[in-house]
Amino acid sequence: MSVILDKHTAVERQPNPRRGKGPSAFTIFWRSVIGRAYPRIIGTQRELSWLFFDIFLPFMATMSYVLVYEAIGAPASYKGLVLVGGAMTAFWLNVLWSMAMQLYWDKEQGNLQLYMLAPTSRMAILTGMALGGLFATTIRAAIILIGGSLIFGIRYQATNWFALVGIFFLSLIALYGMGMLLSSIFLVYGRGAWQMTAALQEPVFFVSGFHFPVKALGTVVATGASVVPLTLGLDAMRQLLFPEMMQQFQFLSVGTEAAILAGLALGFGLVARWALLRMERKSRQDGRLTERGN
Amino acid sequence: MQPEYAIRTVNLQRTYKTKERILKALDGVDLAVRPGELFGFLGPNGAGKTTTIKILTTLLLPTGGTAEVWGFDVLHEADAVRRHINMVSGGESSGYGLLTVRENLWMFTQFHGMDSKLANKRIDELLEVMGLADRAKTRVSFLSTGLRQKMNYIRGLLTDPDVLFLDEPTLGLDVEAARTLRTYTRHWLDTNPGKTVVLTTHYMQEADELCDRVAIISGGTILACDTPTSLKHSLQEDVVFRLFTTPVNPAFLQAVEQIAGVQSISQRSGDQRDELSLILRDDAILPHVLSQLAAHNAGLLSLEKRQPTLEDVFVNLVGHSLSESEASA
Amino acid sequence: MQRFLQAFRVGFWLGWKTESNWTNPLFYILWSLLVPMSNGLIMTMMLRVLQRTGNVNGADLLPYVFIGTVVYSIVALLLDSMAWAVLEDRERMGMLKYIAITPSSMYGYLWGRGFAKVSVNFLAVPLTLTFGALVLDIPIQLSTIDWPLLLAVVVLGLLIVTFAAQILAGVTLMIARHAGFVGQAVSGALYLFTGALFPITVLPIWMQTIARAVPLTYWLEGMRRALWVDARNPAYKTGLEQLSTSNLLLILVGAAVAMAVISIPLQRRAEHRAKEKGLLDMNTAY
Repeated sequence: MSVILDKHTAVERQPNPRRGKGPSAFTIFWRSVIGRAYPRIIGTQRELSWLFFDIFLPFMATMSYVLVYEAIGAPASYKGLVLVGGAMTAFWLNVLWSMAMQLYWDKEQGNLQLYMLAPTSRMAILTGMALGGLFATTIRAAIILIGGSLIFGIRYQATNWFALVGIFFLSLIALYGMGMLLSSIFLVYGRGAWQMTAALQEPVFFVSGFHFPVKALGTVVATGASVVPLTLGLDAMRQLLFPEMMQQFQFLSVGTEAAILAGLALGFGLVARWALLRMERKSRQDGRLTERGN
Repeated sequence: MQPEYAIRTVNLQRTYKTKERILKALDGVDLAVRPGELFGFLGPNGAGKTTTIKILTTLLLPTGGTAEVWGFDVLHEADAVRRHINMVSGGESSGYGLLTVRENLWMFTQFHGMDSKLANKRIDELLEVMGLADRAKTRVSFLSTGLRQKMNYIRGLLTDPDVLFLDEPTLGLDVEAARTLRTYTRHWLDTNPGKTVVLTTHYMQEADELCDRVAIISGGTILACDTPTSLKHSLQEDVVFRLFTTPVNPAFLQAVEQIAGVQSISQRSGDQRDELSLILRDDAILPHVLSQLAAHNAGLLSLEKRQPTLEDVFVNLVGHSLSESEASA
Repeated sequence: MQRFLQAFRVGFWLGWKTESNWTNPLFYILWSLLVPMSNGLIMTMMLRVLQRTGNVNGADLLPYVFIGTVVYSIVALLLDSMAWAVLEDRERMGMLKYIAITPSSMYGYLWGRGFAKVSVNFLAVPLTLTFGALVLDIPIQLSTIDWPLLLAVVVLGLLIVTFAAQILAGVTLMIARHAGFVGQAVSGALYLFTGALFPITVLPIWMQTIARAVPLTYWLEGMRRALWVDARNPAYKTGLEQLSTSNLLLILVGAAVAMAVISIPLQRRAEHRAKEKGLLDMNTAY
């Protein structure tokens, strides 16, 4: 059988002035961020059931933890530290389920391949998811914090609001960097990694001290748990909000924790970028970008 | 400036390794598609069409050979390739159900960095062309399969790609919608010189009607690649008959295949009758076939000599018809 | 009934396959321990933090809280299982519509999925309680466990929670997939009204009234009485200490019947509504 082919077999690399066609990489990046954040924000307005399931019910769950201290007559500042932890829980869950798992879910629904063949960066897509998700998450955190403080009459003794806001944002940047890293791990290891991460939810609540000062777990555990940015973030925020009570529970100084958080933010950002590129290459190698159900 | 080739592959290979076996999905595919062409891939399931498209759209790495799209290597210059392509797959369920059609389309343009004003203008135009204008504000989760496919087609065109990959784009569409899509694809190429379309399809007529050139692929290898007219001319020295008979048995088919001068025979079973497509070296062989028909207790209902079609070319190259290979897949 | 059982078998088989086939059994058991163990340890640490300060002594509350949170983890799991099966089959697998058009029972299928999830995680609860007894001095002893009561309470509890999970699955049929898990959110919120973490007497009177109307409050009381000898003593104030164990069992039986009566028509209504509005194959990701 003769194969009829247009014969041009020698592959030569020719200079191609169209390499730079279209908008700059920066423009594509920020437009992608807005593009992916949009569904997250608009989705919450379309289906208001999230207000009940993602805000009201978690608020009640946090109140239950606070009531444990109420039951044994603990001072109000102890309830405050549970409240701060409960509020920050929203961000951990957002990273875990709305970011890390979402990319895997996107693969299952056929969106991932469209992200991949677009000239955008995967970091941009994930940043968009994160920023879009922050809308609902911040509302949840704020309601838990404000509502709980009013109900239980918690008084904050913060003197350095600048440091508090700084620590909060540093924690979030590092946390979302970690989320980007997790999302690439999810994609490579599929359902197994998903199950593992599902199982990480409560253990991280424990080792990171969402409901009690992390120092109570001892230096070794607290140091190990510091890889989750909210461990140090929570400790620092509690020190700034309840300086008196936290004197006996301070794990590291606020300055040290801020420096480590900055390092974590940078580190997670770089590792996540590397992991996403590696994930993309491995997935392209194994043909997993379009494979579903694993 | 256009590159010399919109797509070029040399000895392209792809192997999938599983625990049980090694599967060669592509086994040395050579392609050269020029800008402005509408290039078709025809082949049965598992022939390697989608694997080729996945490699060319940077979703899958080849295990051997090279592939370039718009002058860029898919392996080392994937980001540059992505600035020039888009893809639409049949039956895809992409997008977010809570968004409207317009919002979904806009979102995907943002991943290509398009200006929102321009994106919205094109969305309006294409919604109009595809008859979806009245559904612009409908949530995607409430769209029918066909309407969703139309939306996907619009998504593929919105970014004005230099190379558009259409992987079974008319799957799930009704006849009229499929025709609209085919007509617009041709119109888009005619009004945008240099734009290139790569189409995979199961529909012979679609390939025949639409494609400038067609590659017939089977078992990961390209068996033939030319214009539909030239491919059909390759059978010009042969004669093609269509027979309607009472149901025939496999022994008859085997006996006919043994007759010298029979190039191929394919069977399509219907209600109480079979349709047989015969490609013979010359007319003189027909009586031998008819005598076998009688010998196997089958009756001839009608006989027609006709011009070769792309389907005949496919049968002649692959050894069976597309519908037969799907039935056995 | 035959259709229900057949659908249950298929659902159970599928649930078992998807829940347990991603790793080896030993690792799976360790993995399944993480959630109840963490929940138990969180409560332990919350109380110990206070003990260390010398301000308040929470030691009395520890067995109450530990048993409550550990056994409650199975409630959270079961409550979420059916709702999750609805979401997964509707949006990830695209299977729900095909299940809906079969002559088999959708409840049976969902029950199967739910029980598969509980089965593969069930062992984690006794293992965590054993850990608590051995390491944290939680006063649970094999010789003092009221086994018949335990069996009765476990069976009744599973029935009550399964019917509740069925209601949640019905609700999920009609809503979008959000960031959180519906079952986890509901079970988390029910912490407030079930006395899982603290005696309901801590609550204001109006909330205590709600708590007394929630069957899980009685289930947790029953589990504590079965596992922990002190909980059988009316001197240990839980808010339900005046209730005799036989009355408690009667309430649980009544609650199981009531939940069945409520949940079956609700699920049917939800299914009908989902079909009416064309929601069985919707994709609501955002």
